[in-house]
Amino acid sequence: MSEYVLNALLFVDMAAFLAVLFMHLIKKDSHLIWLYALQSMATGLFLLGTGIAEEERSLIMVAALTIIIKAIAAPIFFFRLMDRFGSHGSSSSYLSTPVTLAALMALVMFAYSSVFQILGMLLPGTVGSFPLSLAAIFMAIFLMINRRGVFSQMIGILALENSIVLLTACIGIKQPIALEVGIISDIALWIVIANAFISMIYRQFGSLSTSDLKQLTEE
Amino acid sequence: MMTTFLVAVPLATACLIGFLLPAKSVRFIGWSAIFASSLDFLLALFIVPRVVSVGSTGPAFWLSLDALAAFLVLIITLVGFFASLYSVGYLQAEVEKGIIGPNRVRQYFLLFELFMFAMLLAVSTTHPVVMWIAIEATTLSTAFLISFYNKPSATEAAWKYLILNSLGLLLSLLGTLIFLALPQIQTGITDWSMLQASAASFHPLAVKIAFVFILVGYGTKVGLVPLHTWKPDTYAKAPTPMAGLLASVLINVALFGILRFKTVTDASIGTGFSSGLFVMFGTISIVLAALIIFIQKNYKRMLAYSGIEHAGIMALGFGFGGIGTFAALLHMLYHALVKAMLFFTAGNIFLKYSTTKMKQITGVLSVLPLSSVLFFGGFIAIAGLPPFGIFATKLLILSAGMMSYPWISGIVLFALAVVFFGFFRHVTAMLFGPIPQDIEPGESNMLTKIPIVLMAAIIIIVSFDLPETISSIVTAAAASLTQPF
Repeated sequence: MSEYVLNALLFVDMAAFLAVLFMHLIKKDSHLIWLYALQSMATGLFLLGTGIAEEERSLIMVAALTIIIKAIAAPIFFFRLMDRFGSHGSSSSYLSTPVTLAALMALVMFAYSSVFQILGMLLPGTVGSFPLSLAAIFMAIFLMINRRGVFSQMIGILALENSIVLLTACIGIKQPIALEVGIISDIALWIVIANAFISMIYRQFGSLSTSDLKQLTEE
Repeated sequence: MMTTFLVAVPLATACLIGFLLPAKSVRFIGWSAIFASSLDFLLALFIVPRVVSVGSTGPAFWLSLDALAAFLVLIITLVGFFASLYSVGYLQAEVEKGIIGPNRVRQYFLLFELFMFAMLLAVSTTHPVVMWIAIEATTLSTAFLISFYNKPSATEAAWKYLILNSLGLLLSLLGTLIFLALPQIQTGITDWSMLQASAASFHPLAVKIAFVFILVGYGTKVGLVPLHTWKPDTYAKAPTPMAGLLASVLINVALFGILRFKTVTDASIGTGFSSGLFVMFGTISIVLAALIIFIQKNYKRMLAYSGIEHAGIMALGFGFGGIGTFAALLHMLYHALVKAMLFFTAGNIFLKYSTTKMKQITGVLSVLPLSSVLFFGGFIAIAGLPPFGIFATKLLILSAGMMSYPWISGIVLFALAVVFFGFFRHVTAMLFGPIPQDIEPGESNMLTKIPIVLMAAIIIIVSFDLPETISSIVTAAAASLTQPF
């Protein structure tokens, strides 16, 4: 990887990391979607920049798909869903903000621990980016666990996927274009299915809070 | 070419059902699914002996079957055939009772065929990322089947299934990508054999991290404790034939994903690390499932926890290694057949009693004589009593562990005894006692009876006399897991 690409990767990793961090701090679902769109756009632009710098058409195509599906189509889809149900709700956390921040700090320290150092060395020059991506992964998983809203759970999954894409760049994986398209198609289909379920949950439970999903526990 | 055809059949059938057949032609849709699954099963019967003699089918479009994959194909197509047969009878009974409309039958079989396609692709592919895409596709194709009845509890179960499995699968994607980044070659990894061939050069710590992600990721799909929480809810809410297919076959496909990476891990850092994890997860799964089975109140959930227990037994077998690997593979077959039959007989009980709560079910022996006898037989088999095959596989697995893990073997033996008494308590309470006033004795229709009778016959045959071809393919698969090079 050229120095330009490595610098870009570090910048995008920081953006992705900050996006997930702010996801924990804000409560409104609409803000969550904006942060996800931002993270996806940063990921897509990084792939585009890398594709142009390394003159790889397949990577440019993957970048275009990423931007169209994850940074543009998915957020529009989510906002429409919110409008349809007149829901601009917010979701609370199980843990208070100070405890959440302490947990996030622990996760970041874990990502920077010596356990994972070996993975950061797989591709020379990405030692700074790798732990940021890994921390974003852990924080995205924690977002799903700590928040009560189904929107937060869905955005947590998608933010996790974005973070994995960036981590993949850090360890230098390049897949054949067919597989990249296969993975993106899977994600696109996942978004459609998750949205269908969110509609069903809202219709049947009248809420998008996981606290109201008690049918199974009450049986 | 045969492998491509095998994988293409359910996809083509899904297209036929989804785009060409009108929703009202319920009967034709059902028979299309039965025809497709029987064709796939016949193809598997043709492919397996070939793999036994030649070693693998030729690669085409990232598809190739070695002994392990061919064995899985045999299980998927065999149980898939019975599931399609039973689904037709079960859905017919539900349409007659007004539980679902005829239009839902098309939706069911469309997703059923996509699910079969995804499972066959997952085991047939030579590329780790294609396998991941296919296993993710199993989640996407089954999510709507779990919420099939459009009830709040079913939607909640499906959402839980979707989120937890997607989380698990993203972690397994991470593990897969780390594995693919480890080889020091520039051309890129394109199949399992290349990954295995370069395993010796991997950094040990990186391999361990990657394998943990794989185990946690695909382990969620297998349902190993503590990653099992979606399973009881899902099996309780999904249509019974689909729950049977999930419990008997999908568990093996997900385990297959872990085993593929286990061979790479073992080749890189030896068997100690992966075996230790398998034994740990296996033991916890068996013990927890045993305790919950004992206090269970819902028979579909009881079968789900039984699935968790058997996932643990298989994990234990692979962890112990040696003869334990052979026994665990054979256990995959026996468990798939018996668990599917148990779910199908449980489906017949549900059709009659319209409840899954065991407290409300008595006198099944008088109401459904055939189903109840086979349900009881299935319980005997799944609990591991002689003369059924599961008795032999459990015995072999425990004896494999006696030398290296005597304490674990002792704990597991005790847990298995708890499972037996738990099952016995619940099953006898359901079978005997007075018939509820509003229940009319008699089975539903022929297609809810034929599959369970045929499955019972096959279970007895393979328990007493395992066909030479199956024995050979299991031996070859076990050898590929213990000595990959």
